[in-house]
Amino acid sequence: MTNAATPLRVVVLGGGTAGWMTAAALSHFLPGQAEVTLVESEEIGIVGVGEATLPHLRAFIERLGIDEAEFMRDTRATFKLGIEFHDFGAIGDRYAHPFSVHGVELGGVGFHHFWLRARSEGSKRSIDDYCLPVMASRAHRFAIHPDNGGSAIPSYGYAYQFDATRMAPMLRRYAEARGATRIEGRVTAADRDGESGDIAAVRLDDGRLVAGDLFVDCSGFRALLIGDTLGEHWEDWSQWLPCDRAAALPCTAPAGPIEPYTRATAMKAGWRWHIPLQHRIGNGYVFSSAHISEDEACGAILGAIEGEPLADPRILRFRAGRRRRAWVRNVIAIGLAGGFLEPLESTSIHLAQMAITRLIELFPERHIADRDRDEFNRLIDMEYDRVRDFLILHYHATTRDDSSFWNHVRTMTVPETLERKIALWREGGHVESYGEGLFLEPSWVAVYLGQGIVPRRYDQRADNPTRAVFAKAMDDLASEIQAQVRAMPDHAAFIAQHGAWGAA
Amino acid sequence: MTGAAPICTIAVLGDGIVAHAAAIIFRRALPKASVTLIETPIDPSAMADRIDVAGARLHDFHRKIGLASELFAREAKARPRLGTRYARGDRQWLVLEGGEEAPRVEGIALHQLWLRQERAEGAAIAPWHQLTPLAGLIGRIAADAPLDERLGAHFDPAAYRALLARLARHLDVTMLRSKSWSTDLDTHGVAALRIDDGTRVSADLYADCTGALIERVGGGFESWSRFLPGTMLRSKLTGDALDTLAIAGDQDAREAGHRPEGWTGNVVAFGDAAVATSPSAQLLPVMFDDILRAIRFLPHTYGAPHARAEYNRQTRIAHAHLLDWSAAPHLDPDAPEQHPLPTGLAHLVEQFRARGRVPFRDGDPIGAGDWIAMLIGLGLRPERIDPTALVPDDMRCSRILQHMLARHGAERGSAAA
Repeated sequence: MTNAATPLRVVVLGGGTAGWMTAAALSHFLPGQAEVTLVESEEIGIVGVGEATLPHLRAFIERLGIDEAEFMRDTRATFKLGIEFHDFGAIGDRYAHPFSVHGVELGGVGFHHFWLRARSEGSKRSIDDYCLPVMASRAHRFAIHPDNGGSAIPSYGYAYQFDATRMAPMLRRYAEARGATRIEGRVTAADRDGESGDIAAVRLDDGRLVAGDLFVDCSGFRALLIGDTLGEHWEDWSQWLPCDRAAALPCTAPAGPIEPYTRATAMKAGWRWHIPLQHRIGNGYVFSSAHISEDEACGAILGAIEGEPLADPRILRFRAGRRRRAWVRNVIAIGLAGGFLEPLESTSIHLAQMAITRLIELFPERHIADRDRDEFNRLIDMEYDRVRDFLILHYHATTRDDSSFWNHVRTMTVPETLERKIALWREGGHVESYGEGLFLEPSWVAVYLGQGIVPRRYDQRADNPTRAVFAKAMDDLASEIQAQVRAMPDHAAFIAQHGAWGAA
Repeated sequence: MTGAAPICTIAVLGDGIVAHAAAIIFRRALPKASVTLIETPIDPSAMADRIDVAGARLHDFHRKIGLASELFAREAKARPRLGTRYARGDRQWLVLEGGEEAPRVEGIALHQLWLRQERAEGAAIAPWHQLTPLAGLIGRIAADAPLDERLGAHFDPAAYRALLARLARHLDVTMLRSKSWSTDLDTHGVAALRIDDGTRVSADLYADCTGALIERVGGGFESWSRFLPGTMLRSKLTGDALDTLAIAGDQDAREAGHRPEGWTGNVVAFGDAAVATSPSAQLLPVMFDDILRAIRFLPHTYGAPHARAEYNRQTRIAHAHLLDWSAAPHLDPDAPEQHPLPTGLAHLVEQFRARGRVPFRDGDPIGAGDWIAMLIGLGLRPERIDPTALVPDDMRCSRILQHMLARHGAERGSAAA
């Protein structure tokens, strides 16, 4: 018993991460309902630079039924417990944004209020001292299920750091095994239906036509369908997020432990990433071309990397922003064609994944209901805007004045939605929270405090325990965390013992 | 900037369940503060004191205020409550506890499979509620069964109020009685209240469960009458641990609505003073949530406009969801739209009618599973079955449904005495 007699013909344009994730997911969740064809050209290089991700990708891989260890072997992945930010609030500052809440919640009072109390009473401990995954990261240790032995320390999430150029081929094998068809070719034009104006087919350079009912534009910045053909407006966010280039290169990994976290270090006109994989380190300087030239940026990243360069720096160009609507007519933009935010919080793959999940949740019929399209766009917009605000916070909440770039971001006007959030935090340490989507309360707390925004007051319930009881509880927590870290295995050893170490 | 000090004195105004609960919560959360309850008459039609059921979240609340389950059972004559039987005309449907999530099997929404099978066969395999987690308990909860964390409670409201009053006294809440009271205002808001015997009660924060004080300081009432056309009559808890709500056409004497700025200046409204709507097991939990939320956003005396604004924002959302739940039973899919639907409910209905989808709703105290039971029970059916639910073949779909029916039948007696 089906809605429609035949499956919906879905044509995916582009074979990078976004394209093959889409093809894999549709083949897995909608066999018989969606008939998937993916068009890609081997000539077109995929963006893929060493990539860090979020725990949501783990769930995605798991739901596809892909074995984690196999996935990690294929993509030379390491584990990621969070991101360490250096020099953002001020040069010399360091803080962590883990996949976990800091501390423990007591009686409904967020831990950060207790930390603020401790600080006001003279404590010099960083809030990071009260976070197990952060302490474990810094000791280069990793475990999936630490044996808590009934402790109150909350559990934590983890994600992967991997070679994204290896994920696409893996998902291609997966999708093709489940009935997806791959067509090799370069798309040169799109045919539109005379009556409706919807896309009827795409034309390849060899003259072939690929017809479809629904088109997923994963053609990256080129945005062949959503941009070129349909002309959907691009909302530019460069006034808040001025970085528009990246100088990326891999380097050798120095001997020694592998860090189970991504490092983001602020630079004169942006920041650089440091992503440790099994076999090498991914680096990139994300910068604003208005504040530094490409040559200077290449020189800076070469000077900053900790290992030997394995290639020349490659310049990638992008713009921060998103399509006004990600789903227009029968075209859905997923990945860079739909929007882009710099990888400061590892959100690129996530935003594509989120769009894919929503597409499955709102999968249309041949005649697309406005309802489905509007709901999809509403959800995508909300997610993009929230992530945008979160990223702007990393730049705007700074005391740095050592370059024109930092002066710009420090003094710029920010979206009203973010102003309001910051004002609420400053007043009394509250987070304007929402229940679903990126980033939830613990993330905002980590970045507010890490960037040096200390609230004027904390929750007065944090003053309830007596000084003695309070001091002991905080000491005990910090000690217990240290003890648990000592009991955790070395990160690289864990990868090997997990069966996740790939062939050289 | 004034008001650097933490909130030290709180005055609660009112006489019912919510006023006493508020006094207890403030007392427990702020051991150093002084908490005074002015027991003054409230509107006798206040729903919070007439309602005799509450959902499972009530137990969380009792844990927070240190009210032991056994004490509640004994003193407030509380018994387990499994769900609500709704009745309208010749249509009857059940919404059971345990509906926080939409049940899924092998990654597919179970209700979609149920809807698919119903459409294919022309009749449902079984009423939807029989496939939900607690269905096996229907008719199997003994009359004297102890309270169960998974289930709500049915209780005697007067006895519950008396129990809360005793607890408040025990916790050293200062209790004053007054038939009437007057207000001294200053530039910040309420400077003090004067009660019958001349006592002047001055506080940093006033928790108003009467409605009169919040009205005085400008926290106006917004009517919901256009969404709630009639009253719902209650009947006692039936032998199968279900309460029954029958929809009747006569108008309630009270006007339904809420206060969008429930926290204005140094006055915060709770209970019927903040939100007035038809009875349901969600009512008291939502009212208690408001009190807990206020504690979280407790400002340090004056100079905290953002905390107040955020409290009001989150409270408006919670109340709007409660309104949706109150309005839902009146919806008749076969009759033309007689009254407007609240925005949230309209969106839910639109999505469900289109493809049986129940979207995530931020801050909704009512779970997706509850909504599915309600919308299916009302007779709403989607135009199309979700494609993900069309993936299994007919045999597998049928097998899954049979399995879930049998499984919940197997849970019989697991919570009985």
